[in-house]
Amino acid sequence: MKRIHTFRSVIRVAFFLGIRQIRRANPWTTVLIIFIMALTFLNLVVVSGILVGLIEGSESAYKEKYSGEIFITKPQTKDFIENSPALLSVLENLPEVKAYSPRILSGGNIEANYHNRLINVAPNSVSAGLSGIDPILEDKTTGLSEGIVRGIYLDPLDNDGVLVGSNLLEQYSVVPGDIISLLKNTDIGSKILITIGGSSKEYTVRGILNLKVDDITLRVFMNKSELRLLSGGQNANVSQIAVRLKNPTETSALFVKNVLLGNGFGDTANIKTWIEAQPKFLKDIKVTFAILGNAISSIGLVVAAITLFIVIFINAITRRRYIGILKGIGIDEFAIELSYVIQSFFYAVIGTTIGLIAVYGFLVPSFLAHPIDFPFSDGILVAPIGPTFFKVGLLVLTTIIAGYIPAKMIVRRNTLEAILGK
Amino acid sequence: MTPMIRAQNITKTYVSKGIETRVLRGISLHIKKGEFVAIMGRSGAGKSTLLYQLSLLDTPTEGKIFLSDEDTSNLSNEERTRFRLHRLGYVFQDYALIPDLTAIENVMIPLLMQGMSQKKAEEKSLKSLERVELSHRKDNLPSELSGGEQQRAAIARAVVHTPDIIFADEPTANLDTVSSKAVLDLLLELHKKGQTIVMVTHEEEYGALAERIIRLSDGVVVS
Repeated sequence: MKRIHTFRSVIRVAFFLGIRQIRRANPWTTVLIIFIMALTFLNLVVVSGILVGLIEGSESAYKEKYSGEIFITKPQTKDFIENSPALLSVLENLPEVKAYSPRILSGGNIEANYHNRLINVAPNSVSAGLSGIDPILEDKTTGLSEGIVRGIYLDPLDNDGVLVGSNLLEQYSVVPGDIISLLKNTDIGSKILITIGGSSKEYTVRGILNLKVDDITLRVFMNKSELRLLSGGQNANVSQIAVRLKNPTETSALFVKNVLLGNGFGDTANIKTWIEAQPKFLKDIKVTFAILGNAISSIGLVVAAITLFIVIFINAITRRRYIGILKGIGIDEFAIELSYVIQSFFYAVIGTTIGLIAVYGFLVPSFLAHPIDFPFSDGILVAPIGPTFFKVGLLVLTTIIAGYIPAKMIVRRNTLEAILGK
Repeated sequence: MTPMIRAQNITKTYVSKGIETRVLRGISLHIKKGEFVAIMGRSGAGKSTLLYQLSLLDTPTEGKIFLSDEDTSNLSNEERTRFRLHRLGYVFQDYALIPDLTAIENVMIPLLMQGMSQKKAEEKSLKSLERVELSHRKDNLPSELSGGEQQRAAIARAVVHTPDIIFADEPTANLDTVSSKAVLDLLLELHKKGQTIVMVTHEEEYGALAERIIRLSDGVVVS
């Protein structure tokens, strides 16, 4: 027999039936299914997006508030970056550099309430990192002053004042005092004794810093000249330089890094872009959270697939007599199956479109404007276009399969039995 | 002249829970082109079962059916579907219109499956609805039509693609007298134009309108 059932006519009939079924379906049922699809899509994108965003918030804070786009540190075997003035001079003259902040690092002991300490009572002290900074350059580079949660920022001429990271103080720390040592009863105006080696000096707490970066919240900041004096440093070398670029892109950072390496500074310092400088544990946690997010989201995907399977199955089984009639009058089985796939596709596409609008039109901007205030990070919603559209494809594919299987199950039943409603 | 339908020794046996029920017992018959035949018999005589075999909606357990001299016993499922689409028309007892489709859409669907363009299918379907005096209700859903109107729409669908044979299974069973008469008038009119029609009915009055009556009793042709 001449084959007249072209693929084209099968597609046309499938669309003809599918579109009319959607158009004449119960509007509330349609809205409900689309709502489920949109929620599933949001679940797919938002759960992993927030988990990754937690870490990305940390990474972003580390770059913005601490490392800059280029982070230059001393070699592990040295106390300072040798020939630091020459390096700073090159940075000063590089047109790509917007600002930079040289720092001196040291470790020391900080003790509070030492005036009243009794002989048999353990001192109220902690060991902590000390950062000597130029307050003006530091603020220009990292906006450190924005991290003051109480008190005032450091004055460049203040030789007796310090800024203390919030996680060193019991009343500000997000980590309980039984896990780490914290200074008790210490706030702005408190006197603290800082000891480096055999050298000690009393300082006044001017401000409390909290920028959700451990390198800030677990340190004490003072003027660079003051720390150099206390630690007995004699030269003009520094331990660390954070560099802020005019164009804060990876390409620009790599270019500046290469310029510095080309000038031979790679021998006396570790020069890294902010991506290279990120702590490894952050990268590991980011990957872990992405896997965790995808695992949680995939449960949502399975739930959506089952929901749609049930909806299409019930829809098809209640219409099995009409399916039988269509087959009876000569409509191709595949056209009928495809009409149900078209319905699933419609629900998935409309649902994901609403989800996409919600993600990019509302959620991402909202999270950027108002990040979630987690103890260690300002959580944002990370939804890169590529992976998000991969998830769109995944959801659409899943719903197509979830629509096709029940349709196939019903359509392949005996035509006469379906017509007779058996 | 080659018969339009030739059935040879048709038997149909249903098996349910290990129990065999023989509904058709070796039926042979011929129906000529353009003939209007009524299949009659008491309830359980096997008349609908015979119609399902002749119209390729079911497969006989034994025997052969030739439609337009073509042996249908070796056709695959797909080929049987295609045969029904192009060569046969159906009128079911309870109209069997698709509830999501309007009257004209119900009529159009076989034409679209045949590959006709939507515009042409619409024009042809409208003409078919005009033939059954239902063009004014073309955009109504089946639920908005009376029983008689639904059956007229079903007849419009059955004839729209000019099939070789129309099979009607108790087409008046769910209709009042006036609607039944209108439906039978339509079938008679189609017959006058040369359409081959095979109709199952238990109503003597309606069966008498056919050119020939095939009477069944306990799965065999008795006259």
